[in-house]
Amino acid sequence: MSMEAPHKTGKFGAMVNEPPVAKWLFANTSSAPIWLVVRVWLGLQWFSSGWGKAMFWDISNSQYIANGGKGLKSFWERIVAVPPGAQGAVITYDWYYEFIKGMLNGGHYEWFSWFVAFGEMAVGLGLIFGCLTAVAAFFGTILNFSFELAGSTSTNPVLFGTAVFVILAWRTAGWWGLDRYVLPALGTPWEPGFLFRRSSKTPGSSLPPVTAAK
Amino acid sequence: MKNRPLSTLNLTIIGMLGAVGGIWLIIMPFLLGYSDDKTPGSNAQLLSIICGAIAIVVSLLLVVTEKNEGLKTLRFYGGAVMVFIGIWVMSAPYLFNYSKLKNELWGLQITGGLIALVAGFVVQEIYTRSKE
Repeated sequence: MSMEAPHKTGKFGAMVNEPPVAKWLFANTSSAPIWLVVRVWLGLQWFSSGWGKAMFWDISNSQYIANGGKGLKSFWERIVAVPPGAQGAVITYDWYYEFIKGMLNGGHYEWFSWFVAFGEMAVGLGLIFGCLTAVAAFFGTILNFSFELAGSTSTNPVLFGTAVFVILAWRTAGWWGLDRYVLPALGTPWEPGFLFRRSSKTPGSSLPPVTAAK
Repeated sequence: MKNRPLSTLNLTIIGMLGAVGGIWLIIMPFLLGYSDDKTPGSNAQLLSIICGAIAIVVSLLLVVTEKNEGLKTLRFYGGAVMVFIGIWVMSAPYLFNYSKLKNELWGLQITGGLIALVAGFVVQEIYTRSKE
C-alpha cells in the first residue's frame, strides 16, 4: 500500500503551502509599493527618534547624548531605582535589571548613548532607502525589545509588529529601493551574491526565487 | 502563482483616486484646523495645498492620457512623481519639524501614504503593460 503524502511537500517537508496572499506579499515584487510605504513610515519613526537623541551640537537643547550621556544616565537611574518584584518596579526581569545596573555603575551611558542614537538613525536610513531592509528592521526590533524590557512601552509595540512584517518580506520590501541591487550583489550566507561567488560557472541566481512583477 | 495579480487595474479609476487624494490634501488643513497651530501649522497647510494641487494635475494627466500609447513614458514618470509626492507628504512633518502636532502628523502621514501606495501600483501597472 502506498504511503505517499496527500499533498506536495517541500525540501524540508512542509506540511502545508503558504496562502496565496502571503506568497504575493512576501515573495512577489508586485507587492513592493505596499512595502515602500510601510518601510518609509517605519524608517521615519526611527530616524526622527535617533535625530532627536543625537543633537550633540546643541548642548543646551540636547536630551540624550550631549553632556556625556546625561539623558541616558538619568533614564537608567530612574528604571533601576526599584528592583524587580518590588512595588513600582519598572523592569520585570532580574537579569535585565542587573545588566542595566552594571552599565550604569560602569559609566557606560556615555558611549552607549551614542550607540543608541546613531543606531536608531542607521536603522531609519536603512528602511527609508531600502538598503539591507530586513537587517535594519531586525536591529530595529532589537532596540524595541530592549526599550520594552526597560519598561518603556510608548510606540515600541507598534514599531516591533510592523518590523516583523518587513523582516518577513525581506525579498520584496526593498525592491523599490537599494536592495534591488544590493541583495543580488551580496546574496545570502546560503547563496552568495555575484560579488562573493568564487566561480563564474556557479549556476542559478544569487537569491531565493522571487516572483517578478513583470 | 499568477505573476501580475493587478494587471487588470483600471488606470482611470486609480487616477481618479489620486485626484481625490489631491482634493483631500487641499481641504484637509481647513477641516483639521492646521492654521490654528501658528507657524508650523501654516507651513503644513501650505505644503498640503501645493502637493494636493500637483497630485490633482498629475492624476488627471494619467487619466486623460490612458488610451494614448505614445505617452506611456510620460504616464510612467507622472506616476513616479505621485509616488514622490506621497513620500514627501509623509516625511514633511519630520523634515519641517511639526511632528509633534498630531493633526498635521497623522493627516499628512495617512494621506501621503495612501497617495504613494495608489501611485505605486499605477507605476507598476504602467511598467508591466509596457513590457507586454
